[in-house]
Amino acid sequence: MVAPIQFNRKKFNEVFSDHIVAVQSMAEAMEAIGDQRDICVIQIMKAIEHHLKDLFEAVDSGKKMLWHEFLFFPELFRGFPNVHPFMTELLCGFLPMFDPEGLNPYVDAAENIGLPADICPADKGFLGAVLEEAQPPVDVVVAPTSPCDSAITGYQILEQLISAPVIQCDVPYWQDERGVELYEHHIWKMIRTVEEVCRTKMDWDRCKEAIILANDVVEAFIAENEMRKLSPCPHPGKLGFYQFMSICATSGTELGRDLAQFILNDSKRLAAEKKGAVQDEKARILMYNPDPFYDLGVHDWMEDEFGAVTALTFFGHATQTMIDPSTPETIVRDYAWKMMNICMARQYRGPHEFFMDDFITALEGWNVDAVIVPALIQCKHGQATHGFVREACRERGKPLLLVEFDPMDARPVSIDSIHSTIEEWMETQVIV
Amino acid sequence: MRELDRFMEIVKTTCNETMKAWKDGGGRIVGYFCTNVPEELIMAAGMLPYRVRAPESRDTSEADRYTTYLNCTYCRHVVDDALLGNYDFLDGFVGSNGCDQMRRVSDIFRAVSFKEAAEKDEFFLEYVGAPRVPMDEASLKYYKDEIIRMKEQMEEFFDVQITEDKLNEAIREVNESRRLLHELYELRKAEQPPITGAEALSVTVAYTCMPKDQFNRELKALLAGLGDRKAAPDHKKRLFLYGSELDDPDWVKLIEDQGALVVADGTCFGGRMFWDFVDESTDPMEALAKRYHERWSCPRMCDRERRQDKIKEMVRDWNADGIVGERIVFCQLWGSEKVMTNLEAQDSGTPTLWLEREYLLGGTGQIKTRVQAFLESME
Repeated sequence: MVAPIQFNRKKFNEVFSDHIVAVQSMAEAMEAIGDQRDICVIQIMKAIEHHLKDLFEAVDSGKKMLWHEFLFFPELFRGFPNVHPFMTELLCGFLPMFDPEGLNPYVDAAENIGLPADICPADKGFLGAVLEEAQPPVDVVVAPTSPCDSAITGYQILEQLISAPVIQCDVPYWQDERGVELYEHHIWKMIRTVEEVCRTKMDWDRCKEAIILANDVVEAFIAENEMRKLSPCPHPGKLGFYQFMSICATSGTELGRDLAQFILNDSKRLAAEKKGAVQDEKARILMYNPDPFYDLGVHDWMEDEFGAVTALTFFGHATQTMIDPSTPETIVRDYAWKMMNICMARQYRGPHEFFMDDFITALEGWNVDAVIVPALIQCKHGQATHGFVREACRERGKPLLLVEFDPMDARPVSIDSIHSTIEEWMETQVIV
Repeated sequence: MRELDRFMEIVKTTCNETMKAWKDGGGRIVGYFCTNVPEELIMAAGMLPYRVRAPESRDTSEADRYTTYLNCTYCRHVVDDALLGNYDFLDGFVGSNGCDQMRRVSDIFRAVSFKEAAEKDEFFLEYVGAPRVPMDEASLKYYKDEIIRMKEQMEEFFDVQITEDKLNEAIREVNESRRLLHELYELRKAEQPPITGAEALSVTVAYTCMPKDQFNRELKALLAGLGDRKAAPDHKKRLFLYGSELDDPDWVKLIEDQGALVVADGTCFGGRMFWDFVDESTDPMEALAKRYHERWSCPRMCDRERRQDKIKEMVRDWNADGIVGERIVFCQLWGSEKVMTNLEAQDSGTPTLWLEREYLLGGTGQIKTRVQAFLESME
């Protein structure tokens, strides 16, 4: 039995206070620059700031802390009275956005206990944050067996490092009724365990309210997604990433709902004014697989340098479904189905067609001229999907760039290197 | 020893002489990767189950149209062999989601290598989507439904009946293999075991690529002949070998040549593969589901504590001085298991060494040095 790592209030304050300052500074800097592409991102930053302040409030008030993997959206957990949901990978998602080297100390801490470099930085990041005592307190952890082997085993290591129980719910291989029943069963078990561990009882009315708010987000996200089919594409390429991350953290709150509505309204306004991220689009790009978290500016750069707008990104692809809030049974069943259909959970499990079908839908539906597929170093199923991706692009006559990098750690492949690879491809294959 | 030499010889080739004889006799062979696929079902259909390996592959240039240098080399060599037609002796293949990379290899088998033959109904393709939470009724039911579909699909495609009697017979036969393998492993508890780890691996690998009745006969002969043989009288330390896909006895020999003796193991082609028995007293499909879903697992399953308890039990019962772990580079499951094992070993004080390897034997100088240093550190 390994001695469990304890909550370190001082370290937590230090890390998360710095985080709030970084979020505020980024929003202020964007406001000062006044680029219209940043309007929605600024709102997202403000929502994240709010979310982080809520976290401090929850810790101060002694609420039970439920860590959830990012592929469990938090709306369901908002039904537990006196329980605060915290996305385990929050630092991994947000730190690299503010500082390309921000996650490195945590990646290093995880590698120092022996995790190989080829394990996903999301898992190394949160495990490193636990080892460095940077995470908030924890009473219970819930995680699906998704999106990959790295996450499945990452949460088993977490179980070894902390004293709180870790509940893993099995995301089925197939996308069918039988599969959703299995997942639903595990989610019910998880609810009962959380109730027991946190000495609480799910308040279904409260949960229903959160579900309705989350549904509003899905509806707005899907509508905004459709607007991206327009030319000019109203919103910049980078927005999809920010949208997804903000949903992971704020789904099921008024804050999240208002944010999604703001983004949709902004998109409608731009469409009505026939304005876009790039007014005169030279090329429309599909980026299908996670963006480099530390270089979301790559999209701005492609827009400015080549007039190439990223019409759709992987994180920005709204494949989510809505939840019938009528009864606890419909909520849990539809939540299971929704979580099987959110980004990554949907495409990264099962046969390769689960990825390829969405890839082709995106390729054909958003009028793209060329495709970038981030060849994430640690994404092993992704690496073995490249052959299918190449064939699909070749058949459709779309130039393809498979660009290799680590999504959260710029050390293996630098920002400059990513840009120069894209530049060469743009100049020889896309904007010719 | 003649019996051992024979097992050693059998595992050197992709399609060995017993498989060729089976085919020559009109028999069919169905391949699979991972032990999530119950071989008893294939046997009950009158066919030979074959666990896919690529011992003769020397290159991955064909495979790398679909995989990359960042994928594990077992997967790449297997894909390469498939694309080159080196598994043309197969009449079918059952994939499973053992890990992310094998999942994609199964996709490549289905969508590329055997696509044409399957479209002409000349090749059987099926898939078992195995759940990841053991000791859970709903997961067990899901898995049972998966293998029921596999059974029904086999019956339809090959026009055979997998009756309860045939299933029970296959279960008895495989259980017999397991009993004999346990007997072999029991002998390794001795202060001077009659068989080395490399030799034992050749036996367990042969189990995956021979008709079981023939395997059982030859293993019985081996057991009868071991007598008071002392396989490695000068060994300095006893080791428990733990890890991922390993079907090359020469790799184990390399470890043992440094003065160690592998006395037990928990590898994909070793102990973990055959350890658990199928209950012969109950409904055969239920019994198969339970055995395969709840067996001694690998890190794909969410049961860390069970796995670690098993390692402790093996180390204790086989009186191992230390653990040698192995993983193929870029295997994420075993990259994490390494950490879990190390954390536990720090606590228990069991000396542990993890080695990274490629599918084909290589980097021998480094392995030798590391093992020598490890053995010295235990003295």
